[in-house]
Amino acid sequence: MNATTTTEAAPAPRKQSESLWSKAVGKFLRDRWGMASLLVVLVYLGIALGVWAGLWGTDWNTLTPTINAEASAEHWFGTNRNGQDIFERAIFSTKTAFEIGLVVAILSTILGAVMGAISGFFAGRWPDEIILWLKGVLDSIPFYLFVAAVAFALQGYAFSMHVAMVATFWTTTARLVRAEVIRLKGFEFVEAAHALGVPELRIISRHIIPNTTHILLVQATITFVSAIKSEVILSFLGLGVKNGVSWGLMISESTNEVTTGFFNNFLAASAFLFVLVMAFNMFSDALQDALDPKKTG
Amino acid sequence: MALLEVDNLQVEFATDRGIARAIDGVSFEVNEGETLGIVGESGCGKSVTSLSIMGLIPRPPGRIAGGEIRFAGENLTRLPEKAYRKLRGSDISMIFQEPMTALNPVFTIGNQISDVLRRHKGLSRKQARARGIEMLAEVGIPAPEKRIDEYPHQLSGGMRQRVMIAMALSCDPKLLIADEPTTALDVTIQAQVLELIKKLAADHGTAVILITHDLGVVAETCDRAAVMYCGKIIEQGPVDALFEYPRHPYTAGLLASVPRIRPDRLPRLPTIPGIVPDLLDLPRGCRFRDRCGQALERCGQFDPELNADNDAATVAACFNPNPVVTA
Amino acid sequence: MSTPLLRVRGLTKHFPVKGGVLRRTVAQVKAVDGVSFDIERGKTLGLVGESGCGKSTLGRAILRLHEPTEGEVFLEETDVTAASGSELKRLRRNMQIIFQDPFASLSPRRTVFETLREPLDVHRIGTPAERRKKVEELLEVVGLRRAVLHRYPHEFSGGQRQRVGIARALALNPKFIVADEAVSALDVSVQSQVLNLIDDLQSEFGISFLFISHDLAVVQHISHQVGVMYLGKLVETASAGDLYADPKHPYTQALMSAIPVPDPKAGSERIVLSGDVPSPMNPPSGCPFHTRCPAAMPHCSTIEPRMQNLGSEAQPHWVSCHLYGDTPQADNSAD
Ligand SMILES: Nc1ncnc2c1ncn2[C@@H]1O[C@H](COP(=O)(O)OP(=O)(O)OP(=O)(O)O)[C@@H](O)[C@H]1O
Ligand SMILES: Nc1ncnc2c1ncn2[C@@H]1O[C@H](COP(=O)(O)OP(=O)(O)OP(=O)(O)O)[C@@H](O)[C@H]1O
Ligand code: SF4
Ligand code: SF4
Ligand SMILES: [Mg+2]
Ligand SMILES: [Mg+2]
Repeated sequence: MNATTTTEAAPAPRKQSESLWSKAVGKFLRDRWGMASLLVVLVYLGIALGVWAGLWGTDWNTLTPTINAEASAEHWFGTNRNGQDIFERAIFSTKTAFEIGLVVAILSTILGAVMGAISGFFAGRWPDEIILWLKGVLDSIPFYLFVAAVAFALQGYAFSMHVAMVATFWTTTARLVRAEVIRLKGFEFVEAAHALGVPELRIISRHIIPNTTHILLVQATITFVSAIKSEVILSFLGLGVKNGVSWGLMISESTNEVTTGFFNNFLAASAFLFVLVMAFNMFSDALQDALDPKKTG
Repeated sequence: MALLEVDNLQVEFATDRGIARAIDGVSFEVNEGETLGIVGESGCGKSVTSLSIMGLIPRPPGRIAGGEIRFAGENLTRLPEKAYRKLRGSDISMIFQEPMTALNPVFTIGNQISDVLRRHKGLSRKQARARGIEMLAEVGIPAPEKRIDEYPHQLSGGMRQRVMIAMALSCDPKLLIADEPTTALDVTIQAQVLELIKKLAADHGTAVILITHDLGVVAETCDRAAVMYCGKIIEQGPVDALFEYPRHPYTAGLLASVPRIRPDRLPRLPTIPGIVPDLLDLPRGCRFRDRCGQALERCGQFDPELNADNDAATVAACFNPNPVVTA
Repeated sequence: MSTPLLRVRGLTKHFPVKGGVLRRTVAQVKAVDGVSFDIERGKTLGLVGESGCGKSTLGRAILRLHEPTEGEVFLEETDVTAASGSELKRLRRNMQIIFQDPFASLSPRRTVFETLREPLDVHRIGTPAERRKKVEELLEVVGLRRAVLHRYPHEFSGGQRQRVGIARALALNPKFIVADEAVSALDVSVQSQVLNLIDDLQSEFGISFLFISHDLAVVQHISHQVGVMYLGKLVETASAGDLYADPKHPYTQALMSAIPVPDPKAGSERIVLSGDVPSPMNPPSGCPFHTRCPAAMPHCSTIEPRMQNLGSEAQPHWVSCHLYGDTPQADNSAD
């Protein structure tokens, strides 16, 4: 048989195939605030990469004789009470922040996606019960107490802060993914896959997880910001960064300085942190808008 | 003067891909006590038409780009929002397709009916309740004095739709707009609800605009009907003539392709080839041209207007309509 | 007469209703309750009934998308209800489903090509080049152009999506397809195109269909046999010709008279049923229809009617209603 016996359905009025992704990208590109925030984030990323490559920020630990110096051509933001250059330290801290943000965001998103997908797909059955129980336990422990406990348990281990954050942050992602998976499971395309004999694991990996990527992407950006903010507080409490310097450590150092009326260290770290967090939040909002299929025209 | 006169109405929506003119020059009238059916396929602009009359077009992205809507002689397109709010629910009311979304789930149906009555009729709490029970009884809800204290989710779909009708009619509106009032209901329940709308409209002398994609519903409930295609009315007239002697090729095609119970099974259903064009990418000339079997040269150049032919009972927007049959 | 392609016997699906803090089963929704019928090779059984009467559940229970609570389904000689593992996977090549919602039935992030190739991948049919060719053939069969191969679902109209859904169901050359409200979401002008397509596929490939719809007119057009369901039970089955010319069950009669006819001159004598559909969680005793039946008799509320053949052996017309046949005996009564 051929199509001549059926009525030829006219093609959709589009020249080029356009995936939901390219549509979202197009939408993001037209979002002025989203693009501006992305630019700021990219500048920060450039700074962090430069530190990695050893292009700048190399003098963060160099001691100079001038203590608590005001801003000058030599020390742009002045020096701290050890005589270290504040600008260099703030620059170097950008790398620290990205390291923490990226590691925590990636790991907790992956963990959250896998756990959420399993829990949603097997909703009501034992794998779901176990994951829900685990989430309940983790969510009920106060965050800082938990971090302190992990830091103590992993005595001196540089990554104890990361472990604690991942262990806490994945639960939100998992909860969102689980809800979405349960919603998707009721969709007829998932039923169609069952009817075609597609194995369950393949249904999860090919049909369900790809349809949650918009959630994962947005969650990853949110986790990134949370991680950076938490790092500041943890370092301030002495539970955070051990080697190197971070904005949190700088603020922690500055507590003694501000009592003597010297604000440079505090302001530099806060400003770097504030601008990045603001930009990233805006970026995350714009991303959410662009990926929201309801808002695509 | 007709109760409602819609005159060359134009409604536009701003979309990512450009301005979509969802309604492009629609004109019709509804008289007191008359039931007008508006039929057409998904996206042709039926709901936008009704929302325009109710003053409920979301702005932005929508806007009324031209034309007038005169209700009892007054132009509604320029009515301030406050006056509109007073009009809605008292002189004009509306029934929606999905009664669950139109009823507030956190209030009892009694609360919701009394609220309307107290606001528009100035009844006391007690009077409003008594009138509410009366209304529920009128729309055939059993044990109304008990049902009035229930929440929407405790009622079945058909009952919810009847509650919506009771609310819509509680202030004796002059015009009732029903947008697909039975689409979400089963045929047996649909029959109950349509019967009810017909009876109440006759009893109260209410003018009704019944919007639907079901030609059968129009044939059974309406006096006159307008057929819409791509934001335009392409044919309108008395229901009898429209269904028996459709003049526009689209009306004829639509009527032919509706599956209906026949004594003998047809080997194939007649169809209209092709699909409805995109509002942002309309063909030049007649919008139906790409699917029309009787298109002329002219159809590709000019947009046909609704045209009264002396002998025909219906008016059609077509350069080459089916011949007039005089009964 | 050869053996039917599909035999369904006493198929039952109950959904547990969980309640209370302990989430114990507090009730059962009797979505499908002891349904039996046959479908012949290359023929269509139309299934009609009101929302919630169990049509979709029945279709899914046959395909084992829902595990049946009880009953048997045979596809040719194979017992579908007993199959498992690789045998079930092999069976799935022979039974497919087309869904109602053209928006939910295709994965939004996969192209038409990916969607149509998957069944061939999963069942390891042909080489990659052959698979591609097969996908192109499928598109042609359902009347879509090859150019749409790498498009995404949101770029199609509802009718076109429905064609893709049909192509997916055809990919494995099934013998039997459940079409669950396959044209209900479509506009009339497109609906007739898709109905004709289904018709063509049947004559071309000899596929049997279970065609589920709440629209009696659509069902009449497409079906050879028609079954009417009410509250999880089949209440009448007959050939399409017989059922529409001479409906026996009071529910079928009411259903038919309720259809709005697109002809203002057709004076309809409508049977308007009073009352609402009872809940399948708590179906009425005796005849499930007695709460709304205009012809109900006193014993209808206590004694459940049985299916009886009012037609001939060759042309059966099954009805379950006390209006026909013998006066029921008290010992026939269901518990
Ligand atoms: N808020 C909106 N924003 C953008 N476009 C809109 C909006 N509302 C309606 N439209 C467009 O206006 C056109 C007419 O829509 P309308 O809802 O009136 O169709 P309809 O005839 O009621 O269809 P249906 O039978 O599906 O209800 C459609 O093309 C629709 O996309
Ligand atoms: N997964 C489920 N869990 C519990 N109850 C269910 C489930 N699926 C269906 N039901 C119930 O079983 C009954 C039959 O549902 P089903 O979807 O089969 O009806 P239907 O005839 O297909 O209706 P419709 O015409 O609305 O599609 C309904 O009461 C429904 O609420
Ligand atoms: S104007 Fe021309 S193209 Fe349009 S419906 Fe009439 S004959 Fe067909
Ligand atoms: S058995 Fe009785 S209640 Fe049931 S359909 Fe027949 S007459 Fe009506
Ligand atoms: Mg509408
Ligand atoms: Mg269903």
